[in-house]
Amino acid sequence: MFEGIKRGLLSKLVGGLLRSGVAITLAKGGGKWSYRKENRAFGLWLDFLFDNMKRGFRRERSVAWISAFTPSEIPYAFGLHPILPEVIACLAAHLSVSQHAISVAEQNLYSADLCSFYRCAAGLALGGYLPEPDLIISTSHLCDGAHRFFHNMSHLFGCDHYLIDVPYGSDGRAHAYLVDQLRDVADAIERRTAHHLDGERAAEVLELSNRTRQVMLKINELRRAIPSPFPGSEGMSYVLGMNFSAGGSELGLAFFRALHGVVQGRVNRGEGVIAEEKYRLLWLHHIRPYYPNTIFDILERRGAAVSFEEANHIYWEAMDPRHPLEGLASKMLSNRGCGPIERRIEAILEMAEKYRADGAIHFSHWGCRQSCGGSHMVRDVMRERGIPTLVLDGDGADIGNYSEGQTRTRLEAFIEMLG
Amino acid sequence: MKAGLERFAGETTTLGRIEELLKDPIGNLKKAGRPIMGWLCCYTPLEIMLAGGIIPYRIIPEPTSDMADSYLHSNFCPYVRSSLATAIRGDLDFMDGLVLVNSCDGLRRLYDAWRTYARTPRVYLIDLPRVPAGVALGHFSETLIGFKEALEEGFEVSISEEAIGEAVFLSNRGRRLLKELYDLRKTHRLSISGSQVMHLVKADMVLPKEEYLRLLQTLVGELRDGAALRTHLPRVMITGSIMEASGIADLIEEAGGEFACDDLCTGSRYFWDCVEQDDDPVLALSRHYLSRIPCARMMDSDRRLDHVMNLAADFDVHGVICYTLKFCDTFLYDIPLLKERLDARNIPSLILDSDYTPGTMGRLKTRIEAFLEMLREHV
Repeated sequence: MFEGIKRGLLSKLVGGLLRSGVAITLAKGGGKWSYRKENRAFGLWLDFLFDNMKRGFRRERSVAWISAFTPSEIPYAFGLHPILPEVIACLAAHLSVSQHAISVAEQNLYSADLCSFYRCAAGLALGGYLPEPDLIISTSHLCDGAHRFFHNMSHLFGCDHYLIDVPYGSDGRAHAYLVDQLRDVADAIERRTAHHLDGERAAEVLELSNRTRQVMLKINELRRAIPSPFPGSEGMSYVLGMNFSAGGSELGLAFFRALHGVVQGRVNRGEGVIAEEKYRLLWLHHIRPYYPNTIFDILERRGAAVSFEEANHIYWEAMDPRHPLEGLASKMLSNRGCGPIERRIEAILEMAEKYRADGAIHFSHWGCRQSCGGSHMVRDVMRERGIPTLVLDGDGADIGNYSEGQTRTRLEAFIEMLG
Repeated sequence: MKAGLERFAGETTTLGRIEELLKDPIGNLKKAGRPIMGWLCCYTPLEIMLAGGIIPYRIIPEPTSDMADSYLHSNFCPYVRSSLATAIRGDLDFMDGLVLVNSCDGLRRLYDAWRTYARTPRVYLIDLPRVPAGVALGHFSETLIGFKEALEEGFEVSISEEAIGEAVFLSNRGRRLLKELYDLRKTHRLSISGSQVMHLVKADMVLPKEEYLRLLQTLVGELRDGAALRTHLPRVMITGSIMEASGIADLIEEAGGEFACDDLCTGSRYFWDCVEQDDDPVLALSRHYLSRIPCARMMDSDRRLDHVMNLAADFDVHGVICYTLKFCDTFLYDIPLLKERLDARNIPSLILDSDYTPGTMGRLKTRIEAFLEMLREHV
């Protein structure tokens, strides 16, 4: 399905042509991808992606780089144009250009121990392949690497970096601290840019976000169907990309409505991801390998469908549009990856039950401490509950850390054990 | 040659007496008959523990190949893994409690793993803001009050503001003495080695404080009197996170250099800034821990880089070793920024990492020797 993008973008990304809005228009117009017709949501994602990059390069509005876990409602509420380097790094991995970007980053002293998505994004930034930011907003939750990557990028581009420090707890005191910070960040952005937090616009953005959330919940309900109507591999690619990028935008709502239509249609027709579903799996952690790999082929050939993925769990409640800062703070604090591991494990157990998982795969991305750090504890609890769980070591963006033979052996042994 | 202060063990010198204590720090801590509490991150507000009569003990395992791989993933901070392995082995069973700080992904997950797999009776986590001032100050003050109350309940003690003030006074005394020792090295060469200096810092983290500070005060005086003027050897600074083996400092000296100073979590960052005496000691502690020379995890981590550059100038160093543990993300991200600054000042640098295993020393020796050889051409 991504071949079209690859053909359209690969040479341009590598050659730096992405800097040209014309090239993107050509790539978008020239793409004749069959999957677009079959899955309207996928087409909308492509539209979103190209428009996002094009507008970013054209600098029609001030460009705000945000981290994946920064609520995208924030830039929309400020009238800023969001760019998510982590999402673009996923795309670069899919287009097999992440190795080039990673080597650029490593030449510039970004250690191979660091998360490959950030190394890739740093390489793309250093190579000038990303729209330059006017400002950067990132949060501290879940990942040390995120705020440090964005800190370094603010040095590279000489722009302001607004760090939202998400506390460990989730009680009223933590909420108040976060709201105070959001207010400070809003004031600082207003002082430093021509953008301000317009109450009416913020309310509209949160309304849109809430409506999108409702659709996402419906999709997640549909995905309980047997056989699994939607592949987890896609859930963790463009669906997750839209989840991160488009909350609070019209296009985001349109995308998830279209996706709902696609999934509903498959459920109505009794279509599954694979012809004969023997096992239903839950995929743990936010990512999967995005470079060409055989993981999902191996699973599907043995009748194992990834029925749901932790990444698309809707953990937050609807936000009160009259109180945007309070709502955004609640959304961030609701993330089940924040706080003690029990909070995440509880959510995982709920998902395992809801999606009737026969087993789970915990993908331990090489550079991800919060995920890898919890993998053994998650595995132990899941096993206690009788849910076989495989901790699968790998890397999301650096194919250099991927061993096909070893991965195949582990997956096949795991499926055999499911039995 | 014996490492650290061991060579002085049994001697009647001040150093010898400190070494006697260091041979069995846990036994010496136990003598007081008070609860002992472990800590790992130097953002831990030790003063609150001291004020409650609780003895702080910093966990710094020796380099090891026992890394608790069954409990934490192998691509995880080796300091964290080796600490957990030490606890699971039972070597930390003497502890009555543990306090961790939510300072990085590593320690956050260690809090989970420790509660899951180890046996320490009371395990606390302090949430440390990344923002150094503003709204974070009030939030952190409330967090510290919560920690104080948790200790009062957990250990059935009472912690008064007055007692915190006294603990601040005592801790500041140690900070000033160690700072004095370091400042002396700006102009003089001490009669003890680099690793011995690192041991004197560590001793403040693991020995009974009052007893150690009495000895340290005497020792600083002796070292001041016995110091020789600086040599013309290349002077090297080490900057980074944890340096688990103090012997690395000796490698610089064995390779023909002088270990001038450090900016390490197990070195000068532990004591560099004093806590201000204030009528509200908890607020003073909050202000101190948020505004001290920052770790790379803080939002204002550029101040650490400023500090490193200032140290390089003040201590007149010819080269800087950037030393990190593997998978220590926050410090790894600082390297490109720090290298750029050092290059701009024409200060040669060497980037080293360690996996905390005993084999590290051999690998580092070769690289440090080559670095010193290059530095000698610059001096």
